[in-house]
Amino acid sequence: MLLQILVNGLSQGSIYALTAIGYSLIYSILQLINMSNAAVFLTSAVIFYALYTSLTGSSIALTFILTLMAAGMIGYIIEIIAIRPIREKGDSNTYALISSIGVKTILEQICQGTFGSEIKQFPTLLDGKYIDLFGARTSAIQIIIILTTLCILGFMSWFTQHNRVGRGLRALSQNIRACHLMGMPVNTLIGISFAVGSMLAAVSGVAYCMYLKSISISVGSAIGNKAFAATVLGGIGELKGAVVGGYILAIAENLVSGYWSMSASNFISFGILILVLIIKPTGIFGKKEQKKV
Amino acid sequence: MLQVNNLHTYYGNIKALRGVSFHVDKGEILAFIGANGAGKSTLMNTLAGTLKPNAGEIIFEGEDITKLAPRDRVKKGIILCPEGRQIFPKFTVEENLLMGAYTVFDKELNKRNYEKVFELFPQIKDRQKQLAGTLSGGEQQMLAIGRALMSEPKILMLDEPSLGLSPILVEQIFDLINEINHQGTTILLVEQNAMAALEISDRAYALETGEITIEGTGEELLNNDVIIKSYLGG
Repeated sequence: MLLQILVNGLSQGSIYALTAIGYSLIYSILQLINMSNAAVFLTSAVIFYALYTSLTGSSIALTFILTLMAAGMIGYIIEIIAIRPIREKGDSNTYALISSIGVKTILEQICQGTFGSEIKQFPTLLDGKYIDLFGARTSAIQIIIILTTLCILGFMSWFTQHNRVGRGLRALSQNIRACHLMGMPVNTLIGISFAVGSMLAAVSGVAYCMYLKSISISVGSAIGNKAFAATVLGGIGELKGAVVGGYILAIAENLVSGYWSMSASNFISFGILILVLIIKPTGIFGKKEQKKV
Repeated sequence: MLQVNNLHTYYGNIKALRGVSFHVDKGEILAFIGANGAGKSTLMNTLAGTLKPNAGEIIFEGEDITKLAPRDRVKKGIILCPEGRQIFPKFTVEENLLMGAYTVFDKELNKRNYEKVFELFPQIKDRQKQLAGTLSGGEQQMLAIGRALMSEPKILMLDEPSLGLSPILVEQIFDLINEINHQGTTILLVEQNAMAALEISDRAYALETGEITIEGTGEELLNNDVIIKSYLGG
């Protein structure tokens, strides 16, 4: 039973973690909570569904790659249209936050308009295959989600440590002015951070719908909010915090729903969110922010 | 090499530069001295492109660069090593230097410049893998200058390199600036420490509330009564 809960928690936590990285990455650079992230989660799943049912029906891999590319472009465009003009005027982050909520609403409306409001069947991998893991009955897709996420986390770790662009993103989170002075392409890098966040949300969105084997217009906000709670729990602005927060939250939820009640598990995320904000607003890994003068 | 004509820049609501004109010759060390709030940093940031002037023009090697972004100026060979060093504290010394090479795509060239920085600053060579935030003030200043040198600048602009350093370190930093200049980089220096700046500079300007009041060779300014009274504590 406990092992079963753990596996469920890990696969669900993977989905939270991927989306949470997007929140954390952009926050670390711009101190902005990018609310459009959850809508990109939904939009990507809808794009995947639309591509799969109309064009690329035979290949999940091809559909996935095209969806990732689309999500990256959407993220980059969101930054150019909705965030950059506010940033460059030097206006407060509150304006950018509201702008990102606007983007979220628009994307959700577009999805609703094109997709409709009913629940539809979503393509999945290795349907009906189960793996017996030391007595825990695990669906194959759960294992795929966990392993894929581990690969992505490994890649992200390499990307931010050893890649020129990834290092640039970390430099931005430390001192944007110095980045300008060193001749770094600051706007492009910020655009890339949105693209990366969106692509991770896309993986998360597609994985979640594959796990559910269904898609509806409400998947984005449910997971988006919990991923945000996970980000805060781990310490917003810290990428490893987003990951750890995601897994802790999902395992806690599964423990509650396993040993107590399903409906109570939904309160856990937001209960934790409020508790963290009261007791340690900087989260597990977050450090007290030093105000730059 | 660099010609600046009638530059006016606002810093917030304050008119920090009121028609500044000067030129920098190739190979020289040019210093701007002035008190706090004279407009020195505003001038540096306008030249680096992080502040936009309201009027005036900046000509570099015959080309008008007044409207260029900071990145394009760095590519052309003008870089600012900012006041307060502004290194990346959570990066290692090595990573900081790599950020300075963001406009250089030639790997061999980067390697050579990387070695050159450590020849200039052997103190930080042993600390390549150390986080920059844990370095001493003097080492951070060396790192900041080294980072700027990674872009192979033609003009290196230094904003208050002596700030917060002990007299011995100030002397060491100014010796190194001299050395960088001897190796062929033109230096544009801004300093409150007028004595140290004038001693190494070929020419100098005194900046006062956004205007150039006195100009001359470093030696002339060292012997100028007004300068002695206002800046050298005479």
